[in-house]
Parts: sequence; C-alpha cells; structure tokens
Amino acid sequence: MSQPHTDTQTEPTADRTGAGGPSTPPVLETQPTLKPTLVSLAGVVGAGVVVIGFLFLNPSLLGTAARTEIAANLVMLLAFVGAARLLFRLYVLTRTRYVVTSDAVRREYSVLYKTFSRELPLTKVRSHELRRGRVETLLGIGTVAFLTGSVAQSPAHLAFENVPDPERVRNRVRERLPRDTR
Amino acid sequence: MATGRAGRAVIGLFDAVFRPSQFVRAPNATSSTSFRGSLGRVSSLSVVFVTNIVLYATPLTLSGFGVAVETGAPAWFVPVAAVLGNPDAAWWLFAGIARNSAFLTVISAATLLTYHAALVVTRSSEGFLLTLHTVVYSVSAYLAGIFTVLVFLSRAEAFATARDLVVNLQVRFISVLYDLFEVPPSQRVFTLGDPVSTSGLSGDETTVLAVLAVLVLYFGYSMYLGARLNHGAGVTSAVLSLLAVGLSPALYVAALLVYSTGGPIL
Repeated sequence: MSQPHTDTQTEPTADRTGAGGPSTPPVLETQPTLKPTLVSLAGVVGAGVVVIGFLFLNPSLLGTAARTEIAANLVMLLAFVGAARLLFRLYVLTRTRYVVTSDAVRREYSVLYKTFSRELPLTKVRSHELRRGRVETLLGIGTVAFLTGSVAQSPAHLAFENVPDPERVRNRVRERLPRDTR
Repeated sequence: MATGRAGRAVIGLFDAVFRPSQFVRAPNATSSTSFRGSLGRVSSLSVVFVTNIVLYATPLTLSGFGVAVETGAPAWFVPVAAVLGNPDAAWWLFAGIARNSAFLTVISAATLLTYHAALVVTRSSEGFLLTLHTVVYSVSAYLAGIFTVLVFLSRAEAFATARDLVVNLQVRFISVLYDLFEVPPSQRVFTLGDPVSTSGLSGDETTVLAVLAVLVLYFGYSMYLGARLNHGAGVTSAVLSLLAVGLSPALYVAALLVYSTGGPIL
C-alpha cells in the first residue's frame, strides 16, 4: 500500500496481494484519479483568495472595517478547513487501490496505521453500473459500481470511484461475472 | 486501552473539524432495535455526553471560573469523598464542575426537545435515539466550543471590546423577549446599554469573533447533517429542524422569564 499514485491501470501477472487481501491473483489493479479533487482544491483555494481579496480591497463593504475583517477571517478559516480536508482526501486517494481478481472486486486503502479492505465476491454481484457526469466525461474518468441488490445503495454496495477508463474496468469485471448477471 | 481511547479522541477531533458528516452520523442508524439495545445506546451516549461535559467544565473550574463555594463539604459528601483525601477540595471541584456544566446541560436539553419536536412535526423522525446521538455529538463538540470561547472572552482583559460586543448582542436578544413578555423595567435584570462600536476591535479580537462565528456555523451544519443523514430528512425538514434549534435559546430565556417573574405576564 505504499506504491506511488498513478492515474494508469496495470494488469499484474505476478501474485500480488493488497493490504489484508486474499491471495487470489489480481487480474486488474487501478487507482482513483486525483483530478476531481485537485479541481475542487483549486476551486476552494481560488474562491477563498478571491473573496478575501475582495473584502480587503473593500474594507467598508460590511459597514465597518472591523466587521469586514471578521468576515475575511471567517472565510479564511473555512477555506483552510476545506483545503485541509481536500488535501487529506488526496492523501487517502493516493493510498487507495481498486482490485479485480478472478472471483472478486476489492477496494482497499491504508491510512495512518488504519487499513480498510472491502471485498465483494463476484457471485454476489447482481448488477453493475457505470456513472459519468459531465465533468467526469471531460476528464475521461467515471465510477463503476457493483450492486448486490436492486437498489443503488444496497448494504454490500461497492464502487470504484473516479477511475480512468471506466468502460475497460467494467468490461474486465463483466467478463468474469456469471452469465446471467452480465 | 488508553492508547485506543486517545486514538479515538484524536480521530473524533479530526472528524469534528474536517468531517462533520462522519462525526454526527449514527452507526447502524436504525430505530427498530430492542429495548435492551436502546438502553445500551442511551447509556453509551450518556457516557459520551458526561465525559465531554466534564472535559469542558473541569479546566474552567480548575482556573477558578464559576466557583463560589465558600463552605466546606456537606456531611453526606465527606464519607463519599474520603477516598480522595481532602473532602473539601473534592467538594469544591465537584460543585464547580456541576455549576459550570449546568448551563450547557440545560441548553442541550432544550436543543434536544426542540430539535426532536421539529423532526416529529415534519414527520421526518426515525427515532429519538438518532436525535439523541446527533445532539450529544453536536453539543459535545461545537456548542461546548462556543461556550469555551465565550468564557475565554469573559476573562481576557485584552478582549474587552469583543466581550462587550458579545454581551451587548445577548442583552439585545433578551431585551426583545422582555418586550415580548412585557416585563416591567423594575423586574429587568439586564439593561440595554449603548451600542458597542466595532472600530475598537483589535486584530486578535476579530480573529476570536471569526472563530466564534465558525463554531456557530459548524453547530448549525452538524444539526442539519444529523437530520439529513441519521433521520433521512429532506432539505426542507432539515432546515425547519435547524430553525427549531435556533429557537432553543429563546425558549430557554422565555422559560426563565416566566419562572423569575412568577408566571406569564401576558
């Protein structure tokens, strides 16, 4: 789980196992892309700078300079929290792996001595879906979700979020699904 | 064990600041649980609440805030506190913590009642336990933070203008209720003074006031998230519940006015 982050997919042939994962050889490994989070981070920092700059350039905007300064401090604090949260998310994303094995799909990450691994056996998958919003389409990414029931948020729901080339990921999984669930 | 608790506390603090949705979300949110399960959840939430209240009130008490206990420990307390060594010191600490946490506890109860009532009225409630979970966690972190800042302002000499501003705001709020309940001037405890000019605020004071505003926003947001995530409420219901929470201080002050003036004046 200490591999460097890439936005590419690999198809390992060696028997590599993830953090706490089973020993079934992966047929496909990929990681979520950082692009949407980086865009959000740029948006938060940019918006914060613009608003704070605007407030400082117009000190009497809210009646008195002190009130405007309070508002500027407020925006600064919120922008800091938002940016820190997105930076942490970036860190988690760099530690996240999506793995497809011959009999399961798995999402796993390891952060600050905490390891998370959720695996969904392919025999339990009842349906799968590919989601791409406009921004995701522009960025060439998408989300592939695997469902165990008929509702989108079924308890054993597992999603590969913001993966590059999502059609390829879905096809690789589809090839391994029982014939009636393809 | 202690490391585990410390770790959970650090994660809780991290979630409170950066992931409020994780912080207020009730695990295994469901109202259909057994009586014993409900009792277990109530007791664990009570432990969380009491622990956080004590964590909030103890530093205040140790610094001498809100402690006006001049007498020694009462007779019934002496054998209870004998194991602690000095019963008088233990009584001083115990009474101080109780006094310092009283207001936060009462306002928490008022928040719990108004919040849950709003969820029930908007037919969004999925059970009282989920409301209790939301309120316990929101109050423990954000409301306690707000009170901590207010206490800090009340004691720091360098923040006199900010203190006057906040006090003036509170007195304005109470004055509205005085007028609403037509309390005679002779019975009014607080008198509205001259408006406080914000031009005298220092840089540090504006920062502290911004922190106070951020905490208020966090508190409101956490209550909104509690309605949305734990009860599955829609946006409108969640906003209405939030407005009900905003009414809590008004209800609290109104109840105090009714009590202190010997009954409704209207």
